Amino acid sequence: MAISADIKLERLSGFSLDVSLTIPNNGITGLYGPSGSGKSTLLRLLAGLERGGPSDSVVIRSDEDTWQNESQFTPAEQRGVGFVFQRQQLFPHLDVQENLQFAIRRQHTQDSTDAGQVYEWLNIAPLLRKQVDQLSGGEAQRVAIARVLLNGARCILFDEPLGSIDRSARSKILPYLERLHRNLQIPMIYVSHSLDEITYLADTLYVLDAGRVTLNGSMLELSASLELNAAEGETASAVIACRVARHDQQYGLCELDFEGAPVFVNAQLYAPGEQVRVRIIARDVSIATTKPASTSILNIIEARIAAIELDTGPAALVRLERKGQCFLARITRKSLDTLNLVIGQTVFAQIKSIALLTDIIP
Amino acid sequence: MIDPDLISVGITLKLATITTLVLFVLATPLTWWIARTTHISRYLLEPIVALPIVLPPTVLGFYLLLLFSPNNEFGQLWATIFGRPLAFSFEALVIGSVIYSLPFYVQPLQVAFENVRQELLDAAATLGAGPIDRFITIVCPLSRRGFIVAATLAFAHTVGEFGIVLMIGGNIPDETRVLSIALFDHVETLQYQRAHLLAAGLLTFSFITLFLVYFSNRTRQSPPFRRGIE
Amino acid sequence: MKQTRQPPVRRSLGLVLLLTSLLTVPLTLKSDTLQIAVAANFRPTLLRVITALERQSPHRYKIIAGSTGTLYAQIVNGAPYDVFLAADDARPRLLEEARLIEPGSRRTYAVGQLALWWPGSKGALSRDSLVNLRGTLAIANPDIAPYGRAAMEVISSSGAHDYRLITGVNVAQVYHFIASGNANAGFVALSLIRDAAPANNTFWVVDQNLYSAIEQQSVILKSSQLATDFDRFLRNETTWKLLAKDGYHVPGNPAGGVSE
Repeated sequence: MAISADIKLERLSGFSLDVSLTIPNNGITGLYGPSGSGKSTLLRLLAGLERGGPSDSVVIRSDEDTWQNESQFTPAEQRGVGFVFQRQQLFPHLDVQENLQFAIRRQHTQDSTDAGQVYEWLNIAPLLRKQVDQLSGGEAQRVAIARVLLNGARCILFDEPLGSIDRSARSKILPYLERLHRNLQIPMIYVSHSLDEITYLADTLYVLDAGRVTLNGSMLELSASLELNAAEGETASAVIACRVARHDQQYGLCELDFEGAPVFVNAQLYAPGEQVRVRIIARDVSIATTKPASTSILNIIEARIAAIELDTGPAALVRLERKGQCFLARITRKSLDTLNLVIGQTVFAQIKSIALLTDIIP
Repeated sequence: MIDPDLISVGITLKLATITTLVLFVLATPLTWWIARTTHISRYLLEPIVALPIVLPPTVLGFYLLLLFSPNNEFGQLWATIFGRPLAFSFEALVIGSVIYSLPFYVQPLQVAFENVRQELLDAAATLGAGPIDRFITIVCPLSRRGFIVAATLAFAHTVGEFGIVLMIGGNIPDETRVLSIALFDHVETLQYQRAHLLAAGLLTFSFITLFLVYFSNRTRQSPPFRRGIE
Repeated sequence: MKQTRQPPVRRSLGLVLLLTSLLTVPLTLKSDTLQIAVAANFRPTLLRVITALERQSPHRYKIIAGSTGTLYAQIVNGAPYDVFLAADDARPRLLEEARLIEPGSRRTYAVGQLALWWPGSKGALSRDSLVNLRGTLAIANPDIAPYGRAAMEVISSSGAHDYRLITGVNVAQVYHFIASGNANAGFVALSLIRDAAPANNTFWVVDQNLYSAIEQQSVILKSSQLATDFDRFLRNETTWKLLAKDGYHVPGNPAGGVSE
């Protein structure tokens, strides 16, 4: 189910939303922006939880029918859109199993996902007998997601689903979400103000600021955009897609192919030929003008300087391109001048560590 | 022959039960609307509902008597439909009690309704539950204590009601002579012994009721739904 | 700091005492004020009597109106009234038996007249018209109010049968039941409808011989010159004129039943 929306909305508070977007019928669309940028409002409009005022213009269509225009409005319960909220959405008077049964009894589509499968993906079985108030934040979110899946949603909206979960729990739940991404053939919209989560999960990205779309495109392309990363400072990073080439059993490494260049990561999970997503943190990347001969660093990639962004501090962000894919290097302005780096120059990027995003791009 | 005071006790319990049931049916949706709406008329409706708390019951009784009168469209309509005038009937007492006890039912329930978090209703909606489904399966169970307190207070308040019944009841022994009226008669006719009996009974009943209400509120403080940010 | 603060219990006790004394002082101190407890139905007439009295007396008269039963209970429990004008003779009698009155002060000051008010009646009213009454008939509570007791006597001898009897606390409420249209007819005090003057033919002053007299008696609770003077004024020519005008019979008047 693809969804398209055309929204012009104004609030008394001065907040306004002027957005036009299309959600493809597959994969995760990330919605990123600072708080107050209108992400949540947009999501609530899509779900039918809000409808805008009489002077607003809200047109929302799925590929089957029109959900909202000037003359009609389909209420939330009839849209078949699953919604995962930030927190406290499980019904406290029901236990985990009853919460899930609530969803099963009201399934939107008959041919919904197999319950056993969902329990396995989200590791629900150990939680079934628990009361809602006995769950940790991460467990509660897993149950909430399972509830939406068992409900047979034809599209899932995530509104900062990890927003109230601490960091370590978050890294534990992200792989669950990734597993859904790999297995479900329905569109998902993932709202977050954490670029981390979005780059990890999203295929398509919309960046929202003050109610307007400021950036939109493929996640991989945008991940290396200087605009997006400039504000991230130390945590600036980019994501690249690679193909699994072979496993090196002797050293416990996995060799990936990045547009013809070998990249080694510490993982054995994937079969040769599979596509994986890899995050490269900008501050882990250094630049040499000649190919380093003897170095402990395994990953050395030949690339072209595509753009340079100067920071107000001592740092500079350099965008490196290799056959259409980009990644970032965060170096000092002093090095930039010493090495005399210019746009268009071919350099060698030395990458200290590479994180595999445990992600296969379809 | 049954003691007339026992008959009064019976009428009073019947009146309080029916009043509470009528409030449950009529005032529950009203309360839900007041608790959830952002419409401006809420600010008109809330004080109207609260009026019986501050008005002397005789004021209400006076106006109800004018309303019930066959000289008036409402009273006339009632007499046409039911074949007998409304005033001085048990039905009249029910109407009066419903109005008089309305705030005692609405206010505790309103607090309970307002405490039902919007996320839960939104979640239920996106899971495919329509408005009535949401109300029955989410709002009602979560507001259970609110319902108990509301019903208890409405019931007890009706039992103790005097002024309105005095105005619109007509003191008919087996129809409208409720406990408080019988008590009043005993005092006026100097039957202090009987008056004591009824007064002590009413006092005990009211105390036990209020005790139960406060007690159930007390146990609420160990919150059933503790779960914050972990 | 050691001894200055009183324990809260003693302080609140002090407050209660202060409030109590504030409330009771005006009732007890003024010796030149006469406190008259009066049955509510006689209050309008009493006001006229006092207006007349004040033309010749420099003293002040304070009226406390209430139901006879309530006032009686207050007196038994020590309310500081000087004179009590009841709506019946039963309560003054009880007070006399309890030796709570000035010996020999119990006297009838007015005799109430019962009237049937029937706004929808056709033709001249009499006892026999009651047979034709359909619907609601209102009377004052016969257990409490003498007018109710009198009304019951009339009704039971009238042959009326097809009515629904409802009772008000007093005749004023009966009046309101009828005026608002909720009761079809009712027995009230003539004094009540004199002022409001309903249309002719809609009320009937019940023949005195159809019910035992409604004697309204007064007693002196605390003797004083002022009380005696008031008591005497209540029985003079001026007062009698006012009584007659307001629909009461004068005690001792042959048409007004028997006085003591």
